[in-house]
Amino acid sequence: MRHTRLVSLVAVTALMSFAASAAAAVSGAAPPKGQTPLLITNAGQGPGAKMARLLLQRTGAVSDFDYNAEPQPADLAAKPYKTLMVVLGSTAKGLGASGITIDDEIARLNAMMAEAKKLKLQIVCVLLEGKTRRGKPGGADERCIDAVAPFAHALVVKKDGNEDGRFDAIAKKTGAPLTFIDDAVDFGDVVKAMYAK
Amino acid sequence: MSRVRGERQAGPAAERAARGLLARRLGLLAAAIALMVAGSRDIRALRADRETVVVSEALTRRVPLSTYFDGIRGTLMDTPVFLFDSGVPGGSVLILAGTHAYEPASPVMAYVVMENIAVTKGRVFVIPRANPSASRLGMLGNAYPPFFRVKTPWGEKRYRIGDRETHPLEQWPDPFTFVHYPSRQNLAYQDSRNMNRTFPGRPDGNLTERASYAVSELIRRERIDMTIDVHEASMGYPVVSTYVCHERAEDMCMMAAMVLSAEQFPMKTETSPKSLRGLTHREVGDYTQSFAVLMETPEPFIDKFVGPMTEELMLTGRDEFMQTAADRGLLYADYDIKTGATLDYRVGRHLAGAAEVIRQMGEFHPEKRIEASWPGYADIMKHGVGFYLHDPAKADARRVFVN
Repeated sequence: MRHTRLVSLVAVTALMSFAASAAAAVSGAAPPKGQTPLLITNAGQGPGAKMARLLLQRTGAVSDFDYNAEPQPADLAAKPYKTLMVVLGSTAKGLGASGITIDDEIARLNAMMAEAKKLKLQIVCVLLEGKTRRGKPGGADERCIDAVAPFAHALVVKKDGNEDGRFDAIAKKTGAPLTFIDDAVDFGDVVKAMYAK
Repeated sequence: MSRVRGERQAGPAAERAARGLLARRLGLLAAAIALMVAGSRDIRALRADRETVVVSEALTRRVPLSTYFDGIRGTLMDTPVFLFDSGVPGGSVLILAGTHAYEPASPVMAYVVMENIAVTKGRVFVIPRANPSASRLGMLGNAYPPFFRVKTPWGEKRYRIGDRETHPLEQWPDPFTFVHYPSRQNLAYQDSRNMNRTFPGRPDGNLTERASYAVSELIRRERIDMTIDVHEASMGYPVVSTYVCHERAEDMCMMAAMVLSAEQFPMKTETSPKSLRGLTHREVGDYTQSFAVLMETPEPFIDKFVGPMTEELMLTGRDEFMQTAADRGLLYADYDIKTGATLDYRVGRHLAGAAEVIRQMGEFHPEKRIEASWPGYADIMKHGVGFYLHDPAKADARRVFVN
């Protein structure tokens, strides 16, 4: 019988081996060169942006960054941000926790993206949770993609979130480089590449 | 001859008539009693049923939940608490199973842990039947089977399927609206018997609230670092295959979900909404020091649009209507009728899900590290749940408990 061991040494070894193998799990276009200060946010109030923040913190590659779950246009100008990282994904629990509807969220995103364009921020659009945060046309997840992805300067997508080729089509239309990750944890390597010195 | 109303008929004929009437009445009464006895046979059998568990040698203590709050002593909610204490300082975790009894992978996961656990650092508490009353009630109106059987190398082991809420025989009547304590949020009337709506509980509340209070007291008094409430979800529910975490635990859950998704099976994470009250992932996090985590697996048996709710469906999760729903993109998790969502799969997910989030707690908080082991997802998928359940007839009697 093989038991699952909750031993720290094994854990560290597993994480290290995971990190080592993760390089092969990033494919497609090379990740864009990231700038700072960086603002991380989400589209749809899903957990993806917090996951991205967690992975980013663990890499130690960026220190000058902020996280804001619901930035308003004025928040984008509150600091001289250079890069806006928007992580896609909507959840009913997340929207409920924020006390807003998906219509409110889309209106906020439209205003935020307009301000980001005005401020000439680099926009990196991320689908960290893949097909988990894809849905039927017109659904909350798809509306979030519509609100952000066509305006992004770079796209980072978990591979199974592009099974229908939707992000291929957006990248082809906008010219944005499209980087794929096999698993969410591989995003740490994307961040390292973005902020390599 | 006409009789005045109320006037008694005299003579032998009248006596015969009276005797006949009495005999008919007694006959009807006997028939009614016979029907009641026959009709309540399943109810009585469920209430008398006891599940057997052969605990591992790591067990150090077994106490009733009323140890932590006397207000449930002598009731069916006074469920046993099993402690596996390494004796080595470290973290502590409570595996809370059977909060919703009709989600059977939850207590089975707890039993597999209890029968196979080894602990070398920290303490592991297990409550396999958080709501024992609910486990002794059939799902009203759904033609549920009362039991399911797991095949083992030595024979079959039987478990109760149960219901979502506390048995009305323990707690009745329901209020028109259940007002959650202490938030005063109005909830559905049946939630007064729903243990995952009555946390943090209250000492002078209804029985389900008192039981929830007892669990909260256990968590506070034993300084439990992490509480894992083990559930199953219908596949038409967005939170299927998910950790739902209090905000203080979300980094651990997110990391655990990402690791599991990369290495074993798809797992999501959600943060507990502050506006939905009474759930363990909210109230345990708010009212105790514990990191509160709730786990959900995909369980077709409790979806509303499946075919007959049979023991077979509960064990295999294979259903043609579920496949139709999947084909139409109506589910929140992958589904293929060829593989279904077997009890093995669901129990294996929970075993690995608990192990991973406990490991992550040790990563984020080294002083709360726990070193414990039990069968993992790959083990269960390879050998089946039954392989890890021991024969009570051949076990040391001191390790055999009924629940």
